[in-house]
Amino acid sequence: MKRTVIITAILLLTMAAHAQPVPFELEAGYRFLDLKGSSDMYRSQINERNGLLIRNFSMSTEARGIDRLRIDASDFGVGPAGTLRVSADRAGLWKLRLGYRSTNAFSALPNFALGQHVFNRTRRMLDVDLEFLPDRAITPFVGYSSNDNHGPGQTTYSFGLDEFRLRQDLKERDREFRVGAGFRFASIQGQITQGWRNYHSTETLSLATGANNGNNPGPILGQPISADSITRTDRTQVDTPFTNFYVTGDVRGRVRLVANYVHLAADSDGRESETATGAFGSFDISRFFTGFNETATSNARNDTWRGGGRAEVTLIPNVDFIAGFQREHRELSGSALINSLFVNAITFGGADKKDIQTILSATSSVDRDTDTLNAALSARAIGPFSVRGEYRETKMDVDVSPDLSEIVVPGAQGGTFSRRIRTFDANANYTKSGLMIGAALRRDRANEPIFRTDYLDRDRMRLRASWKSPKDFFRAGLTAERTTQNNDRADIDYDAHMRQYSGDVEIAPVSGLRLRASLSQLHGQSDMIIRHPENFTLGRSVNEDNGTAREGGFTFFRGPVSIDASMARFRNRGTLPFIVGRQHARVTYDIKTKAGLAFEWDRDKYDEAGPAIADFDATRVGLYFRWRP
Amino acid sequence: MKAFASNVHAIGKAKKDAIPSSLCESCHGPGREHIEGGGDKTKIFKPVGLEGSNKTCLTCHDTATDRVSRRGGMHANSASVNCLTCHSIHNSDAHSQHLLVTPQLTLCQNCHANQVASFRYQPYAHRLGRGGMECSSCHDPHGRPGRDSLRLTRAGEVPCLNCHSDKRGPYVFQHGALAVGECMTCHEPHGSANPKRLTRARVVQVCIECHSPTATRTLGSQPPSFHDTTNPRYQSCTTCHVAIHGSNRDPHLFK
Repeated sequence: MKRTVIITAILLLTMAAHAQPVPFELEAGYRFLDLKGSSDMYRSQINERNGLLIRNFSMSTEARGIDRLRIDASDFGVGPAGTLRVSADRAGLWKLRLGYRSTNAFSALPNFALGQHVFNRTRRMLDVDLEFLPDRAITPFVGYSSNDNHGPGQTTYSFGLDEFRLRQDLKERDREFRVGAGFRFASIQGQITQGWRNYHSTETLSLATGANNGNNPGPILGQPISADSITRTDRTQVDTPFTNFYVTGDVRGRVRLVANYVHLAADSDGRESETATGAFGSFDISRFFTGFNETATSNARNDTWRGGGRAEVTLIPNVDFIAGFQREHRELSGSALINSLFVNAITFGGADKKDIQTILSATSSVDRDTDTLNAALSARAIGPFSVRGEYRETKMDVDVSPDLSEIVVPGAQGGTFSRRIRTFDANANYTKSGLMIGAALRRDRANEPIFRTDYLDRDRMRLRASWKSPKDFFRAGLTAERTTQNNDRADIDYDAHMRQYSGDVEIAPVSGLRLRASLSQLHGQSDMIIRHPENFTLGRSVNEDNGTAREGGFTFFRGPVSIDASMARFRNRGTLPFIVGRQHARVTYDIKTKAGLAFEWDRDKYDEAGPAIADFDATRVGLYFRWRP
Repeated sequence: MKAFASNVHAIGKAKKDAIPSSLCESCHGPGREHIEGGGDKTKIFKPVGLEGSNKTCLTCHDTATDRVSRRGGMHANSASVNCLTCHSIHNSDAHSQHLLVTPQLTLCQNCHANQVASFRYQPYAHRLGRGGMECSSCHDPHGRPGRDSLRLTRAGEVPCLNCHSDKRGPYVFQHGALAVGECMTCHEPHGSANPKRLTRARVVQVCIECHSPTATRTLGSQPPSFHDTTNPRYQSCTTCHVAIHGSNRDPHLFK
């Protein structure tokens, strides 16, 4: 409904602006979809469907009291993602910026969570900012953002010694109000923002049709497990005031000082309730039971601040020394009171029938401090060269205090951890007569891991070269990137690398025609020691990406006709082998100066190795009318 | 001239499509000789490259914040990348914001071809170019290098939370990967060969690589309770541990 109102508003504005001699463009029509194969996978990856579409809309005009009003919209209608931007200005008085995005997110992956996790949600995001007295010494502003996410889904619930599919209905609403001011007094400028965010979600769950017997067909200790009904309602509200402030000052045009501070204090309150009937079991109370009632109240807090400063000193024109320090402190804490009633509970031997109530009062906390110190020398232009080098040191201290109920097996669930990373980062570029050659190198050295997947050594290298001929007749580019990271501790033995190479070439043999081709190659592999939980033996976890992408295409403009066409193929021979094929063509033809047609053809093909349950071949054809009065 | 009337630089200055010469001169310098020379292009300043950016763009746009720097940024005004590499006052792409010379994805691809390839070819990717999502949704092109180029929320959080606000928490039972680490501990931000843009092909791999007890003490390296990961039922840990980002109710993130 909301989207329909917005689209209607756009069309009304379209009509209103028709008589005005202003830049204007509307492209609207219908898109057809021909889909073969897995609809679930197609919708999870691409999700472009049949229907009406405003492919493009732009207008710029003046109106009473507005020096400039510009509206841009694209892909509104059948989706899956549409956007609207409005900017309006009254010089010296106010400036309005509005952005609206709508997305349909669909997920039903056959090989993920036994294919049982599905959702079909719509997310609508709005950002509005209104600034007063732009370009004055003090520019107050107000802003509002919203982010609504809702829709049905299906999830699973591990309960009573089985997993049951549940129907899910989710409604999330996030609102943010903000107010503040930018300021500029002589060489000092900055901005302060005070915001208030409110997040509210309601999730209702009920047993899915046909899910009574759960995922596990067998009995537990001789007792079949089944559910007659499960209903749950979870409500969460989070209030988050935040403050964001920065100030900069110039000293004689050669030294710039920057100070910043941001603080947020999120306070979450949760209320949850659940009832279930059926035949269930619990190892926690060592009982079978036939009914379950639970209520939970919770409170969690996130208190985070970050502050620091930076100095930028111009040593000679285009050569700067930059140094700074940032500290971030994050404090997470939570408590919950969970009251559970197990109805008709009997021992695993079938004796001692009674209702059992358990009360769990839990508290947990995480404290994290991160200090970052950096110093850099940046020579932005020494003739055709630009060179930059930076040293950075990051230290993280973490203190994790889990509740005892979180700990399945005693071990390293909580405690104090510390990690220091020393980084050297350098890059150099040479640019002259259309030729650009660049190299970048980064080395990270850490003393300790916090997670097992943390590296101790990481090296990144990137080389780039491109050449563009005069008058843009020819352009070619090459990029090579390599990242290696590892942790050579004998019991982790983590080793990973990523290599990517790509090359592209563009040529314009005749006026109006431009040909392009590209080839890219990707190889990534990670390998580390793990412990198998089923038998506690050591093994290795290996993951690989090994892909090659080829793309070719052209654009052509002549008279009333324009064509943009491309075809691409990406083949991955890694751990999840697949082939992606993408073909695209867009042809526009101007029937008259003010009116024309656009034709779009897209084909996306996805083939996984092995059983073809997720493969699809989707062709979309769009026919759009273009209007440029 | 008429087209320039709708340019952002002409707001409040162009009247009925008439551009005052002072507006042109604010970037091109004094124009008397140029006019008297019958439009001689050699007699007027044409902003090009680093020098052009320094003398025109940065006279107004040389701002700095805790994230943005025109002196030390990855796209600092340098010999190789300057304002006029990406922006064009007179010949920008009609549908792009901020007077970009081409649509954003095409523009960024000139240098960041590998990253753009990841969005274009991987099956699980943020779909850029449609629906308002662009490279600059998450990165500030004028930001400082590395992580400092990320476009944080107004409350200073990672950009993922701009859209995925439900993952902000806070939760009573935090998943350490998120509370101490970040989204990228488990997810790839651009495009991935793996469902849900996970860093590994199978969910159990993502989990077990951290949750494996060995001699080195690391956060979360306690073993999970007995699970037969050779059984498909236990190869996707999130079938049961649904509340993997955090829970207010279940210590084991079941719900």
